[in-house]
Amino acid sequence: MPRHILWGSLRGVICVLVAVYMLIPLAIVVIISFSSAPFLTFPPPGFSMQWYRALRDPVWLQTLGTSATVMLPAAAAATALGLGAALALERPGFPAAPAIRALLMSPLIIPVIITGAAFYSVFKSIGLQGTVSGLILADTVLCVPYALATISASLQMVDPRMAKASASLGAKPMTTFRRVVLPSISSGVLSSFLFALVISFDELVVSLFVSGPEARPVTVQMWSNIRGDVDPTIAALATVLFTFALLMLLLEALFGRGEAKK
Amino acid sequence: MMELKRSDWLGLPAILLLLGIFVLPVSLFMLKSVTDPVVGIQNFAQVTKDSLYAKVLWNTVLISGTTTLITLVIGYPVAYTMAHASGRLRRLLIFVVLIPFWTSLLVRTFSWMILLQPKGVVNDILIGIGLIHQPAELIFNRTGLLIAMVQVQLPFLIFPLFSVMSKIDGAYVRASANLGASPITSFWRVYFPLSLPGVSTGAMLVFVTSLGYFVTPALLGGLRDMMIAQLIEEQVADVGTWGVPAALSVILLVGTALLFTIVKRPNARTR
Amino acid sequence: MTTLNSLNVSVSKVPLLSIADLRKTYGATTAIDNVSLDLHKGEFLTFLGPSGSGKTTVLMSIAGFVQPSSGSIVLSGKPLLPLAPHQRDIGMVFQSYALFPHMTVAQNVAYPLTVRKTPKAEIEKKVKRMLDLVGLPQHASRHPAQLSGGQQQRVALARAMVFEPRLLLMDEPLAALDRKLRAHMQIEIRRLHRELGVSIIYVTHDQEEALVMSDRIAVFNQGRIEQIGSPCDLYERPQTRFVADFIGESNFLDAIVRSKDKSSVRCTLSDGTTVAIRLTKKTNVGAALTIAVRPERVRLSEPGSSLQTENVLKATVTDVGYLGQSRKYVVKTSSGVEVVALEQLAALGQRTFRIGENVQISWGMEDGLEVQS
Repeated sequence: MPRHILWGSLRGVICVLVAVYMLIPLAIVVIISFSSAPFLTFPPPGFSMQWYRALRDPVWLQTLGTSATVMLPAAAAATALGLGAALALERPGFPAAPAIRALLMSPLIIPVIITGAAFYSVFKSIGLQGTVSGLILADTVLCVPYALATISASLQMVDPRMAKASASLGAKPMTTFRRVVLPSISSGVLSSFLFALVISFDELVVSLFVSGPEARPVTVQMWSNIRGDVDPTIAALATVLFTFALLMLLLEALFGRGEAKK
Repeated sequence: MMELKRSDWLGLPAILLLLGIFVLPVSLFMLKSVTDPVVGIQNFAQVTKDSLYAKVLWNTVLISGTTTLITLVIGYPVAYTMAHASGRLRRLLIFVVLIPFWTSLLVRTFSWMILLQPKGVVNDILIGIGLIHQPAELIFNRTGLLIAMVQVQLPFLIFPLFSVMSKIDGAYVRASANLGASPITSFWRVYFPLSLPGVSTGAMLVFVTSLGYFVTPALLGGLRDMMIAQLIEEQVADVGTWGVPAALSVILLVGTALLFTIVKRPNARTR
Repeated sequence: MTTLNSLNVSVSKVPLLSIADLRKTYGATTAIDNVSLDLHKGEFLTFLGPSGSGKTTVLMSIAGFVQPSSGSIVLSGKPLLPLAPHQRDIGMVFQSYALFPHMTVAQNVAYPLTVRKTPKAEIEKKVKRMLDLVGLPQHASRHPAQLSGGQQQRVALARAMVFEPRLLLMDEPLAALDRKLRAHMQIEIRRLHRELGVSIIYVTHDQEEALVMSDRIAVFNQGRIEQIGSPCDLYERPQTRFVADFIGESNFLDAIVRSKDKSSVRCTLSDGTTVAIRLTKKTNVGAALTIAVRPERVRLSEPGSSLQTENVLKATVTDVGYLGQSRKYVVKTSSGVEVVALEQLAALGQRTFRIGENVQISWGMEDGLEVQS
């Protein structure tokens, strides 16, 4: 029996170490973003907001702006397309449903480096390379699988008998959709939009290939800075990215699928 | 659910987008492996014969394999604890593993750059407790790369494994104990075999996704740790050719697809 | 010292298992409240009770999966509680069978033997014998998922008995089976009990099952044993209202003692009628008690007909149910008490009554039992 307890304590130690391993790096980044020193020493000698003020630099403002300009339409488009596809595929007897679903999920399986390189070659030839539209298109494609998966899962949870009941009570299919189905999946739709925002905002690899000097999201700018001289401005940006994702996660937990459970 | 055929058209925009702006570009790009600069398989020949390319391919497999092994060793006890924990502890563990999962890869890789530099926190601690006397080389080499990759990949192993483990009926281990098996025997002969589907799903997920990694090896790895994705990027962006990176992409994709099918089959049989 | 039980199996008088003052509390809830009992070698003892009555908790305490808060369990003279579950050498059939899905039937049955490092030849012999005994010799290389519920049940039995444990615990093993299969398996389990002579503790909430299968039954209610006895004892002489109600059906009449003599007690019911019951224990005049009468002991007759018992009440028929071999009447007495009577349709020309008819209900003095509330 003591051996059993030994293994239990070992597991506990591993879990604590893993928790530290998972969370400390992020904590360090956030702390350094408030450092008063111009290099990445830890612990920071003092507290300062200078690196967040440095974000007012036109380069950062412009790239942050580009990121925002890209992620909102991309997330909206991906969610709309995903919603349409999820509804269409839900019908039993939809032709080649598994194949279509595989097609729409395929961006998840193809390594992003290949997707990026492929986009670069095609976009270049049709003049979309280095444009905001190109970035929006690329991000939309990358987000559709997540939207489809999330909204499909939401649809699965809608009791099919509710639609039948609605029909037996005299509602036309469009009305049933509007008043019975849509409210049930609204939280799934919201979830998918929020996820897409985060995915687009954080996206780097494909953006490296698709962006250009005129259309550069903040992640690409960070990438080139990191490989040169690094100062805590990057840490401040990283914190901004991280906080954004956390906020979206929080919103999702509050208003997303959590609501559907009620 | 909806008896209408009209609803089918709702799927069309998504299908068209994916076909036109995804399948088409990727296919055209991959086609270049046998058409650029001239038709033939010379790109594949070059990639497999040239020692530089071969080394990169081999490194990719080695690094991915090592990452998978380490995540398995670390992740299995964590998933086990999660599956057997009470509600509060379980939610805490899920939270701890999930939060980094949602942070961008760039942010996490960058954080490791800060931590592993010669003047970074990790070295400070190691020197502080007396394990080493001068800063260890933890960045721009295999060690730093593995440390970061394992952290990034852990959730991909822990969650499928946890999912399988939490469905294992406690009665099996109890029955095994009742039949006379010591806790260790019960684990190896009953619990572990039942957790294998989760192990194989998680391990495959980690291995396959590691193969295609770009950001982490580019920022934290050394020259000797170059992985296939970096090679593809270099060929496209710096060298400006299409044939070789397309060939490399085909190899990467075929490898990924093969692994998916190999691991799915044995799982299907035990059903 | 041995006696023979109902199946002519030798039952020793020295207890194999002794449970003394067992208690288990979870925070403020008491799952087991001072349970004590003895199990004799070769005996088939059933724990009977509704869910939450503590019967499964006691079983799990014997198996080692629940640690009692206090009390002792002694098996063959040795204390059981300090031992881990895998050291107790007790066979157990789980409600869900818990057959290892990744092993074949033969591997499942062989498992306890391989864990005990039994030589291979002996394992093969024992597994074969066990599978023959439960009637599944041709399924040895199948996996549990390929078997039906009844077949899985038998494999679970085989596995629990292959290492010849001193005691076999069964946790509602037949709950998942349909009626016919359950009846068949009850016979099978009794047969195995007879052939192997193993001591069994059987948990069920089905009182019919308990009556059919057991040498003795322990009736559990809210963590306590209300009564232990043979099926006949419990049915004919229930000591508490709960037992009278849980095993078979009973009518309950509240009464107050008016007088008593050497062999009988006279009480009045709420409507003033006097009834007489056998004197069994100390009863004081003026005390309140509950009388239980089984429906099959209640007779219906035409009002005014003369009867040989003083236990007669006037009532009106409110419901009649035809049950094939019997008729179930529900009548309401003048004071509003509902009584159920079960009449066997034995004699031809037997008087049958209709809803709304006024009748007399009666029962003999021997048919009423005083029960504790």
